[in-house]
Amino acid sequence: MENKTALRNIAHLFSQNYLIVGSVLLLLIGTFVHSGFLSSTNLASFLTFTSIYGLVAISQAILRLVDDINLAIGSEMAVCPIIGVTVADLIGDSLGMNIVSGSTRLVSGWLLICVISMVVSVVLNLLIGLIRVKTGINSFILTLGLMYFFDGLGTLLIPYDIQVRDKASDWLGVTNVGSSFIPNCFVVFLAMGLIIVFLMAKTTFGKRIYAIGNNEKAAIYSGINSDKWRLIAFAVSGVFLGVASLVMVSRLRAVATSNGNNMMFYAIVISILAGIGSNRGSLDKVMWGACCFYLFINIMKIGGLMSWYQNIVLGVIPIAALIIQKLSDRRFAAKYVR
Amino acid sequence: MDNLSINNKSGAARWWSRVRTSNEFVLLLILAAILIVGAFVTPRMYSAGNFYSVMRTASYGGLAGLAEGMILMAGKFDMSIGSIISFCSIVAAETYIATQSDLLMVLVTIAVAAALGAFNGLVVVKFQLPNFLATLGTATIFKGLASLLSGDRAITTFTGSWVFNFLGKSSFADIIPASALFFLLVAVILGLLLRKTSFGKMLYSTGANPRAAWISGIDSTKIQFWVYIIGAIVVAPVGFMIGGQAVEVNVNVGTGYELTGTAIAVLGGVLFGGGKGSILGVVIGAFTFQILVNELLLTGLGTYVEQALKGILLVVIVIIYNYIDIRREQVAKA
Repeated sequence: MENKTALRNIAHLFSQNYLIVGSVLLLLIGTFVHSGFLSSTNLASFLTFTSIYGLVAISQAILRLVDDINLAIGSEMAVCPIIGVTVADLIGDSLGMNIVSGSTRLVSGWLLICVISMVVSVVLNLLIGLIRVKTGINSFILTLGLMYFFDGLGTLLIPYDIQVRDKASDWLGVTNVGSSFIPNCFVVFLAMGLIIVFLMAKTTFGKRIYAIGNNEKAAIYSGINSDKWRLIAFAVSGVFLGVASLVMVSRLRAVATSNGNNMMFYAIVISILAGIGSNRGSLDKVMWGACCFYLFINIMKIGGLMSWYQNIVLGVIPIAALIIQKLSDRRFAAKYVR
Repeated sequence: MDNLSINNKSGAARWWSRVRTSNEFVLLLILAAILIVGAFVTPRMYSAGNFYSVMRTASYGGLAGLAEGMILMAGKFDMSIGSIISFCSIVAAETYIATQSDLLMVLVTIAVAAALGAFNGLVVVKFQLPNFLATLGTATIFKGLASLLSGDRAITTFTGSWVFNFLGKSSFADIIPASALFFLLVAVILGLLLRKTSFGKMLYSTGANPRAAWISGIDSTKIQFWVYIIGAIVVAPVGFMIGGQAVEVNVNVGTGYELTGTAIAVLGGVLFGGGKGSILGVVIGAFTFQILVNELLLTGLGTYVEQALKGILLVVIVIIYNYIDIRREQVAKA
């Protein structure tokens, strides 16, 4: 009998932490698939992209928690640094500084671009939030249109990719902490992730977000200014998105319209994997989900799977995850709800 | 009951007041405004050649709009329309190359389109997954299948196909392209389906309130399942049109048509959320949308702008229609 309870406890523990278990399993599989998997270069790139995916996914997940969605997330990720570079170049021109040389090489002014990109990211998200709150339009259709708008705007502003040659930019996405294989951006990601997990769990911010996501009308009647908190959610989401876009630029050493390719899809898949829905799921799971998801992609790539099979598998993941979630909800309901 | 209500208006006046408040009338006014502004700003748009190309492009987006509009009317959404177009065009080209038979090609394409639609319906309606997230997944799967089938290469050796050539290149007396006539034909069939059959009535009530429809005895899941299938079959010919015109099909043939379709459907007065909209509205919407895009392009903003314009147009349209709806409610209350 005791054995049985112990087994059940272990099974429960595993099912509660499926993303951690999945990450460990994928790490093991990866080690077998390719000998170079555990090389410090691959581990560093694993941690870098886990950070990028994680930041974008958290940005999406915060909005999912208040029952909104941002389909423009990938396009915004590309367009924020693009606007940053364009504005910085204009400022540089007026001050006589050489920021973009020959229209395809960024030679200085990285910090200025960081500041402008972050501001742009937060302002864009606030604008989306403002339209969403003031008109009551479904954020889904709103951001669907904006996705294509930002894509076009990006190509319009910089017809050619801009190579980043400013040494200062390497700190965020390329340089490691000391002589270890842990990149600086991973530390940033952990710090920001822990802060937002703490905010969600322990502060008014988190409670309001979950309350609005659960039942907005009820939240309003109990005196919560739902518009205000929704706007704050959009702004916070913009902060994470801005940092993610800068890490991406720093990692690829390029400001390009393709920087955000597939990110909208990845962010949504990760938040589905983490079980995020309106008023359900927690953001620490999103961080583990990003880790798990990147490992999966990394193994597919390193294992030499053709790109079209990768696409098919990637499409199956969210559908399978949603079906499993549905079934487990049903089992839960059958067990506890009479 | 109508006889009991007091109505002093004559038949013509009643008809006029009904027309005046309809979405299609508002849309025609918008179209007229665009045409008048165009006459001053970009007189170049008033050439037979330009109208020909506008009609052709409008029929691509229009078919996508009809499909997306119908799915929206039933209260669902399909993100995979672009991938369905790409996949079907590649299936068609490969089938033609293998069999050299137009009839077989059309039959296989329709069967494949129906299968893709049924897969969407299965996932969204039977498994009850969130429609956007699920069709985003299926879009990726279909695109993967299209790349798999074509080996990520462009296919060009289907030039002997009559269907590709007819839908892509033929025209009626060099004035109206065949694709536009085909689009209007599909619109008429769908219009009859929605207005004259019980299926159409059940579709509207399902979209307006699926639960109420279900309680009153309508099998709303079945309706929504079929809507996905019909939608996929309606967009499949877009692959023939674009492929026939460009004499090439590849995985990117249908890219972005889910957005164009949504923008046209919403512009045509289809309510995002279901239960409202008309085929006539979508048809006028398709031409209005394309003429507007054409006009903005002719002002010399360049091709990069097209995508940005389509995106911002969708947002602006939704905001304006939302505002009009709020005003109408206020007027109705007062």
